[in-house]
Amino acid sequence: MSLVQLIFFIAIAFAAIVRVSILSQKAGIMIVVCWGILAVFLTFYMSGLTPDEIAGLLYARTLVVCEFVELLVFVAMVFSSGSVGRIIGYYPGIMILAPIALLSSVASRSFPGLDFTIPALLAGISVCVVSASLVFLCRCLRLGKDSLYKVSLIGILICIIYYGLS
Amino acid sequence: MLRVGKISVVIALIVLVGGLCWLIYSICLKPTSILVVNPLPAQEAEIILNNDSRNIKVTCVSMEEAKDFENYDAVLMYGRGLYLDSIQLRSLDRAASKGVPVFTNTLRNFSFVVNHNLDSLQTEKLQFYFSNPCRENYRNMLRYVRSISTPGRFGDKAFSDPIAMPSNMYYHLEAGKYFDKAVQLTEYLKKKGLYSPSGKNVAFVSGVNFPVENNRAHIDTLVTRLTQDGYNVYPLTATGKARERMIKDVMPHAIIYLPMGRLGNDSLINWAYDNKIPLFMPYPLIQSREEWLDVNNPMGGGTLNARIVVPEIDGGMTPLCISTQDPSSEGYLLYNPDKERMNAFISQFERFINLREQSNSEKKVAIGYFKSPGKDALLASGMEVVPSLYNFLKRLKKEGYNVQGLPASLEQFRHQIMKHGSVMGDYAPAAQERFMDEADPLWINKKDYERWAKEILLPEKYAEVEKRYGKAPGSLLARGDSIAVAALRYGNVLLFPQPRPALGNDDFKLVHGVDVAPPHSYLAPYLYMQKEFDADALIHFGTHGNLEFTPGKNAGLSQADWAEVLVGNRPHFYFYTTGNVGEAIIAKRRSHAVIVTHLTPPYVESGLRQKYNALIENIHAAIADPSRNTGALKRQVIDLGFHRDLELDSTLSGTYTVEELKKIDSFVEELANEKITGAYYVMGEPYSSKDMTTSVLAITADELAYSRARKDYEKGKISKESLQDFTFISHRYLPDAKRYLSGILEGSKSAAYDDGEKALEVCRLLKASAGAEIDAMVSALNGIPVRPAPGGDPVLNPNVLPMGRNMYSINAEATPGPQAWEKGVALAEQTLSDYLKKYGEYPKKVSYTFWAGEFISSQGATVAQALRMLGVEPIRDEQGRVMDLRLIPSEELGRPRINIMVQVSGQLRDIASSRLKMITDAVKLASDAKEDVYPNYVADGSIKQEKALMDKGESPKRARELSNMRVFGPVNSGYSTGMLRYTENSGEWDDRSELADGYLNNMCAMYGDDENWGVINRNALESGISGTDIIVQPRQSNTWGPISLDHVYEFTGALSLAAKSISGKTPDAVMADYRNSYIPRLQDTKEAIAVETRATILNPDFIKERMKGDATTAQMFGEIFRNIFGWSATRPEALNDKIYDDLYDVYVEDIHGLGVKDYFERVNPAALQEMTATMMESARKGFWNPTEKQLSAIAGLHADVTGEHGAPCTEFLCGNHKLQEYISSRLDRKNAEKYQKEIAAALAETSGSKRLKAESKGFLSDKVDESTADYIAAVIVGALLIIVVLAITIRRKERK
Repeated sequence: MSLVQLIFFIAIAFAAIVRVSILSQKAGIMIVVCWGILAVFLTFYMSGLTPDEIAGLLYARTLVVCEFVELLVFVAMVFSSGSVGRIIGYYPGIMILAPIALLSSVASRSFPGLDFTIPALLAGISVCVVSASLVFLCRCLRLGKDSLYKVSLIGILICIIYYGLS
Repeated sequence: MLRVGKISVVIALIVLVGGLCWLIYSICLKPTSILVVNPLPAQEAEIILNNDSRNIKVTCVSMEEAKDFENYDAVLMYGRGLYLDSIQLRSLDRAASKGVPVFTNTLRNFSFVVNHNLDSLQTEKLQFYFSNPCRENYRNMLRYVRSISTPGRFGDKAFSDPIAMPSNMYYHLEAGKYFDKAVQLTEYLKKKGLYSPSGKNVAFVSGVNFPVENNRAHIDTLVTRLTQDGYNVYPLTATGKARERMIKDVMPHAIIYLPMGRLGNDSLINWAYDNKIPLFMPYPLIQSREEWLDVNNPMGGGTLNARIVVPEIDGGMTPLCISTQDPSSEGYLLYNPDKERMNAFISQFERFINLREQSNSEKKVAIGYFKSPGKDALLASGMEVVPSLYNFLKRLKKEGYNVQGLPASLEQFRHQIMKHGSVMGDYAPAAQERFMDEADPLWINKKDYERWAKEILLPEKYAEVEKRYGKAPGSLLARGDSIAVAALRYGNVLLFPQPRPALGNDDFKLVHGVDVAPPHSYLAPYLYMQKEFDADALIHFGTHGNLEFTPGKNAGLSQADWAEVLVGNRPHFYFYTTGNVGEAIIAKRRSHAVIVTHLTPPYVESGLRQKYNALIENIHAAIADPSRNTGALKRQVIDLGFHRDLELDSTLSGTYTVEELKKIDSFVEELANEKITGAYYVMGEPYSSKDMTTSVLAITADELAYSRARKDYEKGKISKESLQDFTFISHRYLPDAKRYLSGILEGSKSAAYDDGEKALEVCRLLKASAGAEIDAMVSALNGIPVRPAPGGDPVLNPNVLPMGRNMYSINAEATPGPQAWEKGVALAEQTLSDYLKKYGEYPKKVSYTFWAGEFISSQGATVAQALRMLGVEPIRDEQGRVMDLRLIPSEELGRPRINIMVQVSGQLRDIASSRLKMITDAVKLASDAKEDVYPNYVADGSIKQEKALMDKGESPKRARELSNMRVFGPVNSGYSTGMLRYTENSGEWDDRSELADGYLNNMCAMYGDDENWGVINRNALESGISGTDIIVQPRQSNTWGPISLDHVYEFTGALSLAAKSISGKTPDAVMADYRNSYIPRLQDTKEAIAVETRATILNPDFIKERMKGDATTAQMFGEIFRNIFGWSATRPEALNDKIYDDLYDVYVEDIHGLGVKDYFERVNPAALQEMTATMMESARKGFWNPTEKQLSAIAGLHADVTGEHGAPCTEFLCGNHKLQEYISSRLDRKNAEKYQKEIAAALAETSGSKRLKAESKGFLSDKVDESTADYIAAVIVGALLIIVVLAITIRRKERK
């Protein structure tokens, strides 16, 4: 994994965290729990994939395009109001799946000899705890839509650089 | 309100009427639903097809599928192998409580019997129906069940009482006609016009519980076809004594046997052979046609045992699959006779029977022999081919065969064979041209050839040939529109060499097991033999050819298999050495060959006891009295070079320790007692009187010595340690035993003991064996069956005597047997204790080499070793079959569980697939062991293997699946590691890593479980080999050793090389020696090589004995040189540093004055050319550092012989330009030019760039850039970055 790829995944994760942090507390908790559950299932799924297949899945240019679009949606969310703003406001962000999948693949490969349920649960709990902590931190820092805007802009920049390099 | 009330009443009425209708239907009209649990597919079809009632609905399910018993009106269960779990039993109880009749059919005393809601009369009646299976009884049984389970329902309740079927009966095509006596069936056949007064009687044993009346298409087809061809067929079903009586009543000319298991006891078998009645054993398979034809679905386990292995014990012939079970349009599995296989069987059957009728003068016999390309001799293990063949042809002539043109002398015959019956390699085009011009080959026109190919081969198979080699006539031995076939024709006898089974790169691939079609030049002689020559029988002469090793199924071959289709539908006989049962079985099963065993070469005196007697005495004296342990003794040992073999110090000062002296003593005793074989056996010629004596002693003296020692032990004269000490027994008892037995054989002593009688009996059998193989073959050609016999080294199993018999294998399912288990355990523990003693710790991984011959001879002791290492033991049933495995508790084991890796030959894979799966099960069991008090290296190994596989690109799930794979073998159903071709083509590689690479590519097929059977995965093999501490090679025969058999370096050497290339460490290598059945022991490979080298190739007495032999014996010297070269290439540590110098002294300098050069020039100059070429190649490769003088002398000798006899045209030399140049560079200019001219005359042009390296294969995964570590690093870095960004943001907020 190259440094640019790494930064790209961090950007995705960070944008998603900031996005969730500006939601209500209940919605945030629900989403974080969903991520954790997804991480559990993704660990089982990723355990069936070879590194080449994972690479094909996670390091594809389409992923960059999707993230780019998602970040544009986030930017639109910051500037939209009225019914359009409300509708866009319901979009929680789904590209977080990519870093979760990456984490799941790491988890599935990190415990040879152990039943896959254990790394899956570990991955799920880790995702829940880490993302909840980060969301909590963001909320403490009172990061708002302006922060989401900045983060999205940085993310878009990273997407462009990564797309150009890949 | 009123309206609502009306509607309610109407609805209520409708509901009431509906309910009433349903009630009436349920009670009176509903079909009776009968659940049948656990029937065989044939039984299922029988029951359902005989149900003619619409009021009865039958559902058949397997044991696993059975559920909801309470939803049926009746439950019928087949008790054979029935097991229901607790949930199913609860359901069954619920059904019983509802009053559902439940019946279990038990033909024998099965443990699971559940009957409910049936009185004793009903139970008895149902049992009667089941016990007498026929159309009527199946039909009435279902109606009877309806009558008792749903008595209130209308219709189809009438049933007839069961018809009593005779349990032993004759029958025929017409259903319902059964006969008690053969004469009744004869009358019936006469009445029906089906009896042929001049026809031959065939006793057709069709089954145990048969005949089934609907599902017997295969039986009816066979009966019909044979009847049409004029045979009087007596189908019968019977067991035990009744079967014997009924077969005898038929007075058959042949017996066809279809059921599983043995035909009968020894009295029936002996009666059949005494009356010259052949036994044929085709079989139906209980699997679909698709499954049958799948190469990666080998026949194994119970099916292989029951259908192939056990009938072989009776000497059954034609192991052909004649029918499969395929779903009918209704979905029921019905027997589906395969038309082509049925024709093949009928043809083979009739041709064999007809051999009796034909006069010998009209019979046409084709004989194939094996020869490598060039001027090499004809090859066969332990047999001198040309004189044997000549003797056989002379015998045929005496028997009245037309052998017109057979030369009057052996020399003329030899000359003709070498001239007309040669094999050509594609690397020597000039030799090819010369052969076509001068050798008068058979010319086969392209048109004829293609017509034959179309008639014999499947279109898709011939298309493969054309795709690979182009249109006929191809490139090898082709001119214009014709193919030249090397062959000799003597009247009605056709002799032909087996051509090379593939060309150029394909040759390499085929030998390595890649499934490629053979070239036109290979097909041509076989097609000619079938279509133009029209042989009545085919004989392959000597151990072994290449046809049966073309890739394909292990048994039950079809028209799509080259081995089967090229033999064609004719009797096939195979002269085979008794010493190689493992490979003989492959010939039997893959080319429907009847084996005719011949003797091994005689065992001869090595003469080394006399030579080293003084040394032995000195060592014993030094051990007993330390004052006699002097420097002189040490010098004596060093002068003999033993210090190099035993890795002892070579400083002349000081003395050896007592421990070291004991080691030397053991080594010298081993040398003195080494059983070595003399000149190759010539068929029809008895051993000389001296050879007879030494052979009898080799077979019987050990037994006498050990029995005397045991008696002394029982009397307290010797200790248990002494009884188990090979050196002690060899020194104290063996010489006396030999003297005593020699006296008996010479007649100077009387056979006062049983042992003496046994020696005389062995002597008699050995005498009777010489020529017995020719007698048996002549009888076989007269349609007389060859008697069955076990196979193996006569020293280890004298029951293989006399010769001229048809070898059989063992029941793999019963292995390892109790005795074999004990031997295996002893050797496994010895392996560990030796390692512990040497290194102070247990080995973590032991790698085994398993071969078929050793597996059969040791009754699975080889497998037992591996199981013991894992700490797992077999559990046997009452019949001795290994049914399960048990984990030996760690405390009981008392040591760590040792990880294993097993490499198997293709032959073992084919005959014992179930054992390979068992090893994998054992690995899983050991790997999953919990709460071990000692370390579990198996579990550690599985985790490492899983991790390694993930690192190499497997998915975690797949890596987990493969983490327990430890059994590997040749890819694509092949048989070889590929190493032989590397040594043969040594000019094509420069670095040993290429060999390791070739080995890994060729041996990476996994043979562990059904899902991964034959799946290629090099990464799995690499991780399996990684970390190997010891390599163990079993040895169970005195007829071969590590330098006389190429397969030893091919497997052990190559594995060692691969282990070194993977782990960077050369593992120890030992031989698990079972040759002494009283004390199986371990021997370091280096020591084993040293013993064999000193006892044979460097021993003047041995050389003298072998020099009595002919060309094939001489060829053996060349093979040993090549094998030593193979060891140098793969595991040089196994060789004594001075070995090439010693070979140089003996064979170039002729220091013993044996006349080596004269001998080779007289019988086989090509062998000497090979030997000298091998020495030069060893020097060229840097395996040996000879002096300039040595090099010049070898090159000079090589050039001399080449100048006089021409280039040998063997692949090793003529395909290796670098070697030719190297040899030329060591000659003076004149000789160099002359030499090059000779070589050029054979080659004419360069052989092209024959690429030896295995092609890069699609299955080899590309390296993966990203590793798990990278992922973890990425996550950590990512997390850190987030924290940093957050921290900056917080700080900025605070500032605001």
